[in-house]
Amino acid sequence: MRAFTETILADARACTGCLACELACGFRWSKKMDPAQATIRVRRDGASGRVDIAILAGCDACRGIETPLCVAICAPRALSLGRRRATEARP
Amino acid sequence: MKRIAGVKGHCGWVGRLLRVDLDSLSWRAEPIDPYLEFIGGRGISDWIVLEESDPGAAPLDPAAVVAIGAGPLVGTLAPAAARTNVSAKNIATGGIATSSVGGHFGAEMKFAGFDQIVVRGKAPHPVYLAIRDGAVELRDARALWGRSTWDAEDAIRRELGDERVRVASIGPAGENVCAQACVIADRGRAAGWGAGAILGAKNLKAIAVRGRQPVRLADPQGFWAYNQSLLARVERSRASGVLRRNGTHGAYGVGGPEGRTPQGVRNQQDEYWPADKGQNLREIVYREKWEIGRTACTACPTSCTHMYHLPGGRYGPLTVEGIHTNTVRALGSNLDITDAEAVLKGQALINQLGLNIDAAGAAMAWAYECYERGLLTTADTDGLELTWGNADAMLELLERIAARRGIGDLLADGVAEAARRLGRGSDAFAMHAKGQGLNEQTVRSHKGWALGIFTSTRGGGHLNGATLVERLGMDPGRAQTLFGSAAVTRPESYEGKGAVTAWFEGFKSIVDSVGLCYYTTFWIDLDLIGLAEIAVLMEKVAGVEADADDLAFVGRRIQNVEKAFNTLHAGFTRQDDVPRPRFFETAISAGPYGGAKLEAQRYAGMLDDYYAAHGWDPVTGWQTARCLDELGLSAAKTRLAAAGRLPPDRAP
Repeated sequence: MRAFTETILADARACTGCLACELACGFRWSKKMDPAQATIRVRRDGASGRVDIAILAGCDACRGIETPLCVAICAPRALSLGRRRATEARP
Repeated sequence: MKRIAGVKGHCGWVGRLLRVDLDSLSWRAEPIDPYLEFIGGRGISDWIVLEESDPGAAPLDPAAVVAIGAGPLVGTLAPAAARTNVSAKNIATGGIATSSVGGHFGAEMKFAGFDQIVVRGKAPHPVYLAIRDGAVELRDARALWGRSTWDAEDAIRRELGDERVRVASIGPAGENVCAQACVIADRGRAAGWGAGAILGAKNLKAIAVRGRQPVRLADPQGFWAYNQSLLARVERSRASGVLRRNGTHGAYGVGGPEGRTPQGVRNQQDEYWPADKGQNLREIVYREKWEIGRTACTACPTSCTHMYHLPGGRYGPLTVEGIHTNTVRALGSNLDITDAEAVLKGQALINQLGLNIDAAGAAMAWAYECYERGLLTTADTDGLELTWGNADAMLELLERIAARRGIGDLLADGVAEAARRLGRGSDAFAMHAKGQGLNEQTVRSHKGWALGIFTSTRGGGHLNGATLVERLGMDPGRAQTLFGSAAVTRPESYEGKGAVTAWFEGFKSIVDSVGLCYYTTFWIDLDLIGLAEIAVLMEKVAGVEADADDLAFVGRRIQNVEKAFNTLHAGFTRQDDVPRPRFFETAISAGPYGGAKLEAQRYAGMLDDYYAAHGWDPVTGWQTARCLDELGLSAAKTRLAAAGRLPPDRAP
């Protein structure tokens, strides 16, 4: 038997570096504007415009919420909810 | 009298104001609470600058105060609530200087623990202010002095060992106290109106912020739900779509979407640039050749700023953000320059040197015109030929202004002062408002736009009272309801423009004080965020119970704080709200607005209406006792009366 894990997929090329996802994610955990609590990290290099997006340990793709908050807030549609084949599921 | 009240234990605000004394290299924190009647950002900064400045002291006096504030919505997900305001005494005008800067500095400043930073004094040597998680340090910046804003930002980040540090810094222009000097945040976001020179005179190279403190919300779930509805409106908005795809350049710049928007040409002698010139600098040229992506300020769904990369050529490799409509006008049409790559290079220099594009552009255009008329020669310019269209001269002038080298020293004090020093009738070509250099468009064709620029308390700029209602295609019936006149939608009409300008001045005061960007508001799209929406955001974020009328009242108060500062410090009168003669004397030569110019008598009538809307005296242009009493600004009234700058009561 195989299982699928929901995960956040990121397209760094579409990201504008607005950091709304970090604010939304922090809000999910603390109900505050609290990017320090976020389990997504966006790093944009000002000199080159290059963006890296990291999904950190602890992200559960907003389990129980229809649309993950980072996906819902992302104006340039750089984030989406994807299904990743998990390791062999244990019964 | 309506006031902002009902603050619930520092939601929205993080609750602290930082006072830094550079004379003694010391600092202390205070509660923000005593200032909250002015909301935050620009409102609080203005009040502090008014209350704590001596009208007799020069802007560069070490005792001069500069206030840097991020409003209660900054650091939240409210659409583009990213703005930081800088207020100080204006070097070019002697009145107020206020400027709003985007990027990510403001949000990080709040996460670092402060709503407002107030700096006075002069450090014994260059320093920078580092604020991390509420801890404040003044660190040695001697090794940074002389370096560009880009280098300074990188070096500070390295020194503090944290790539998420946000930096607002000055470049050589600020260090050399050029009147056009900016504070630059995030490499390309500028707080202008001389703020960079104020910091330079204080030996303050930069402010670096980093923090992990949250911004609390009064009604978290209510905020999230309401904010999602606002974001959906922004996404649907036509204006946001244009800004997203084409930036401000594509929306209003040279060539424009239809090539219709008048632009300052050759020192604003004209506002018509023929298509064979304009097409070289159209937004699509930049997009197709060099655009590599877009970038946004904190929580901005629009991302109006585009990134460009020149891989080679004369200036590459070079990656630069911008360019905006003002860039292409200041470094393009207003100097008759058609070299798109040189304009990109100029934009990079402006940011690296820490110059204000409008003020530097105005000074350069004046110099080019003086050269054309023989008032300046190569003997004055060390051989530089300031002929219209000479892009190399423009790039060289930017360097010289920032370094105060040769002709640059003349221009570095601003266009009005340069004309005063040169004399020989050159004042006639100095394009400024209240002494602040001007880089504008549609001044002759759009009468309300012109009024907003020339009454602006900070001296020019179209981001205060200047209204876009004249070009938004607003239904006349709706205009009648909102602004009391259907004619406000017609560019050529002078009717109703006084009242609409006064209204937008108050509105922008609120936008700057809560920390929103003007580009997600009613100003740019009538379906976007207005006072009613800001009131809801303030309730859900900060727990403030205030309706749109209450906010409008506070907006008027803030506008009147700035007006009082101008009257006390600069002695401005009605004459200072009148455009330069060129805009009355020379019509637009051709194009859709060919023949348009301002008419003195009708402009005067519009100015009368504007003063009436504010409750100000039409003869002097000053605030009346009644107006100040209504707004609860009795302390300002007392000071104005003592200075002999309160007009006599006139029968209505």
